[in-house]
Amino acid sequence: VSETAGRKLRLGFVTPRYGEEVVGGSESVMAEAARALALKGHGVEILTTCARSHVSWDNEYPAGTFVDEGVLIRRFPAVTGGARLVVAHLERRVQRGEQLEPLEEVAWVNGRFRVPKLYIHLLREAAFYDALIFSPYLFWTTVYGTSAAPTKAIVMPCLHDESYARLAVIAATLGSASGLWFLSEPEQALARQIIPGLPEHQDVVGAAVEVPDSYDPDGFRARHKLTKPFVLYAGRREEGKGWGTLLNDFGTVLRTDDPGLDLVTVGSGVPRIPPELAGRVHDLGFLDPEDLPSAFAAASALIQPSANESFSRTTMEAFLARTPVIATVAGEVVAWHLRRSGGGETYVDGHELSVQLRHLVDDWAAAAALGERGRAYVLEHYTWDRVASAMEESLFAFTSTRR
Amino acid sequence: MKILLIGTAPPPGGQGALALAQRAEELAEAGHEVVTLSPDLRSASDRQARLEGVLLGLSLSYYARRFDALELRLESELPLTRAHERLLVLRALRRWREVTLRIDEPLSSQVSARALIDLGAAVTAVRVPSTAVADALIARGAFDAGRIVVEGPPPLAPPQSLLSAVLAAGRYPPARRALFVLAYERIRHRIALAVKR
Repeated sequence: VSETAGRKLRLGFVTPRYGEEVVGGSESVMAEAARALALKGHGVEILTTCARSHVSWDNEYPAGTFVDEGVLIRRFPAVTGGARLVVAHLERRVQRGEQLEPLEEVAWVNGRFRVPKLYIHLLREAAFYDALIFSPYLFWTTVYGTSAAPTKAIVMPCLHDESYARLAVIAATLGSASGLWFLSEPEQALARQIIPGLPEHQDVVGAAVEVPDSYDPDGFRARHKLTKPFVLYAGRREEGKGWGTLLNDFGTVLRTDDPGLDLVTVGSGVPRIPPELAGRVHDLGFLDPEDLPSAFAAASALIQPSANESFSRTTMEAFLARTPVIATVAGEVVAWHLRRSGGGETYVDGHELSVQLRHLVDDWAAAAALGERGRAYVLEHYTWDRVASAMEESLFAFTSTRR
Repeated sequence: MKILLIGTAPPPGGQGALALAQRAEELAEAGHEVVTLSPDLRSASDRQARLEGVLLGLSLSYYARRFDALELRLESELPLTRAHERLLVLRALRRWREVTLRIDEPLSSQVSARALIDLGAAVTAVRVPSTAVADALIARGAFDAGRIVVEGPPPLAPPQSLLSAVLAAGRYPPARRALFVLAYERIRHRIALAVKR
């Protein structure tokens, strides 16, 4: 490592989407990591598609090469279409947890979207890069990209405990990569548990969030006409993120012991709010990124109902705003953060959520202490300065064994 | 020019598929608008289509009005063995202004030899990976030397790994399974419509 430490590396971050309007934990981590490593003087490229939506994969950004915040962006057009019926059939079988043949798994991955020109670029230019970082695990860019350049590939899987993670093609992808980056120790433990033959080079590098200069909770409440105290949900309004469960549990809270807190939700996706909750759930849609930190600061707590988190940026953003987090116990990673930080509590169901919210309302001093511990935790472990240094150290070790 | 390249594109398809991808890159860099169409659902191609049976001939006819030139990779799975399928392909090829055949290896069976002679009359050029393949084709009498271009082996080649083996083994979809899936999905769609009504 000593031979390579201090050397300027040529790095490629391969991510399915990139752009200001792109919502997604993995995409955000990749973009910010790329910029943080570019700031350290490395030659960094982002190799991505022209797509903005992870549903349609329409090419909304122009193809070509651009420079953004010190990082070279190479955009390649995404391709969809082909055997849609076959792919839809395979998708349903995967979601049902059925075991597909490896041939079918690959056809399914390739059928959602693909980026032929990116594949050729990686085949031709892999030798140019010291390392190629791929994320997240479930996308064509990672599976096919790793196959094109396995000796340079570090996969940051952002793994969740879900049926997709148990596909043979995913095991082959992670097993064929030369290195793995995990965002948390529970994620690494999950990978080791369900996927045999992982590469030796593994690091828990974590992820980071930008520390806002200031917060404006009062202004946020005034701008959005929020007159009552509230708890916040921030994320995609999708079943995979616990959206439906959250609404059910919040309904239970209101029926059993209403703490007088409304639920404010922000993020992408279509929120379907039951009529009986309409007066107590306020959806603000997709917030301006500059407005989001104040949303965390204005909330009494962040509710994290998702079990499918490999890091949970929203938990960190809430902590930074000194806002405690109340998370489903089913989400191992967030529960792990809460145990380590003392910045929040977990709940099992709507009744336990009700108890936690009642504690929050009845003892504001204790809630404030949770928030303070959360902020200290993020500043100690998850600032970009620290995480970029961990990634850099891992990259020096990775490249020193391949020179 | 707007050029259509038909053939299995990588990761499956071996060296011939890599050569096809390389050729697509060369043509694009030369300023042409290039579209790759693969019969394998695992290919990193621009388009995918079923090409077995009469579908190859029908596809060639359909695309002839939309592209200026065609490069067709001759693969063992292509429907050229039965006379009626071959006839359909040959008639479709006549609709194209410029047709190039890509042949990775000398074909040995008698039927293939017949197909080659028939195709020889319809194509503008033939691209092969080595002089050995070129010599074999000339010896068959299917093509004269002036129409044969020797490309050399493809420079692109991903390192072998467990993943590359998974991505490239076999061929997907097998025809019968694809037909079953299409039938299944159509029935499912009709049931869903009936329930909705």
